[in-house]
Amino acid sequence: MSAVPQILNGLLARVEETAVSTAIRETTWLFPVIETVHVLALTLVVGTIATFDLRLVGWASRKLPVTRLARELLPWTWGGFVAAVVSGALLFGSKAIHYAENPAFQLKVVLLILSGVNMLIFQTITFRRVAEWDTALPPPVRARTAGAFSLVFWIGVVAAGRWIGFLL
Amino acid sequence: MRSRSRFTLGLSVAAAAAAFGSGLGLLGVPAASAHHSFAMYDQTKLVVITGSVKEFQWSNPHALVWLFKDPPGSAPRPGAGVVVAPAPAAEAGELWSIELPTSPGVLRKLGWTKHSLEPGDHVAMEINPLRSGEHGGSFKKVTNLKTGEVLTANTSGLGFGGNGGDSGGAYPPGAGGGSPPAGAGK
Amino acid sequence: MIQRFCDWLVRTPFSVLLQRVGWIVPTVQTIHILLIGVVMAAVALFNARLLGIGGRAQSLVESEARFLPWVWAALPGLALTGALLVVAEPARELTNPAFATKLVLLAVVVTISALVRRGLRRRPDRWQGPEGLGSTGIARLAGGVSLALWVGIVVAGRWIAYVLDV
Repeated sequence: MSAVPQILNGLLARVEETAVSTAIRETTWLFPVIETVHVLALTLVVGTIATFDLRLVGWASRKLPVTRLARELLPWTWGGFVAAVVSGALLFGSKAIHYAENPAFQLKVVLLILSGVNMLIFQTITFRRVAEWDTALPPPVRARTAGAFSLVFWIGVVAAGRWIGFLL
Repeated sequence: MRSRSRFTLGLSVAAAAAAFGSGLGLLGVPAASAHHSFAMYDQTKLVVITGSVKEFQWSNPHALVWLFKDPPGSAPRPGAGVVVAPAPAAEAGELWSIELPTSPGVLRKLGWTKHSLEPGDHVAMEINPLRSGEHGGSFKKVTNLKTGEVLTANTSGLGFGGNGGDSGGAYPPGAGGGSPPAGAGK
Repeated sequence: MIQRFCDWLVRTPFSVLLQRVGWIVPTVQTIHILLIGVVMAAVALFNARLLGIGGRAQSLVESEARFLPWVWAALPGLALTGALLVVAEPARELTNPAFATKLVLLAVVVTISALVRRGLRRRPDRWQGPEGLGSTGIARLAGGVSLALWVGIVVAGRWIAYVLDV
């Protein structure tokens, strides 16, 4: 179990003690419902991102332009992501210190950050000039790299998330 | 999607997940482990641990008991109605984590409350131990050695607090015959 | 009787292996979740099209041909990972009403999807081209019901952990 710095510990303890966190931790229905929302949201995020990434690496939906897929899929990705973050934050708050100290949760956060950075790089650099490679097959190396990294990171997020419950 | 790409996709996903899985598995299961599967516990073994409660975590998804195990040779195994003096809390022995099979919501229906176990309570806890041998187990039954109260978390509806006899362990060949198991793990 | 089957299954060498090797169950669960992701993405997009709220640039026929193959491709993997999870912890699923609900809902939605597919392919002219670009009452109904069923399947699957064999 990895320790958490003292200042953070105090803040997390306060989060845990709020009425909302306590209710989620101790009452019957809040936790299952919020967790179910979290799962539904994350399947939507991971499913749409994976579909888009598979196009970026040139394995699936090859006949469709990248821009078209982006337009169709990414709104769902963002909507799902917001729902996943909100529900995740609520679950986290119910046992904040416990989760913060959990190596699997820490790994999940790291991977989320990494995938965010990957996405940022992709959006600001590679996607800017998408018109050049929108329908090119195979896609350029930088697109395939972004897609591959994204797939690995998101599979890792799901795996790490599942592992939270297996470690204390 | 062509079937060959589908196959490659499936294989890559499985490989990546397996890689992550073993990687995370290598993070190791520390001395105290929670679970989201009962497979971690040896359900063919029943072990009794006596000790004093450090903390009773009344939380979703599963409640948890932290127990200081009595040093060996201290407390005798209690029979029914035997009252044993509480072990001194200062002599904290090995720390064990014992996970209940379910949530506060369900436990409440079975007669538990947040205060069913309090820090300092001297108890005898019957568990399915972790296969790995580390200090943890899956809760079956607890006897409060001071009051004699017995609590189970038998979610098939039998053994409701105080009806000690049925520990609800379905798998040990000799114990309790055909009683249903203690219900779904997470 | 189911109970006796579970008691037998949980003692078989294969089941014990799955229980004993710590990383197998979480990894199988992870693959199961990833495949659910593939299904939910396809289902969201196709049903949005049926409901007429998205993807209207393509006809219903095109939409079905594009999205549903992902679902059919993912189902065998889901069945396999699911089966492994049942072998590892038989009583958890086989005595659980949430699991039974999940399977029933799955059977229903697969049937509906097959019927939709047949309906679209039987009269492609009706569902293709400009006339097929909108949505009809029956398409909307199918979309709404099917989406509800798929969400229901995921919910029931999650609730296996919360519903016990009382």
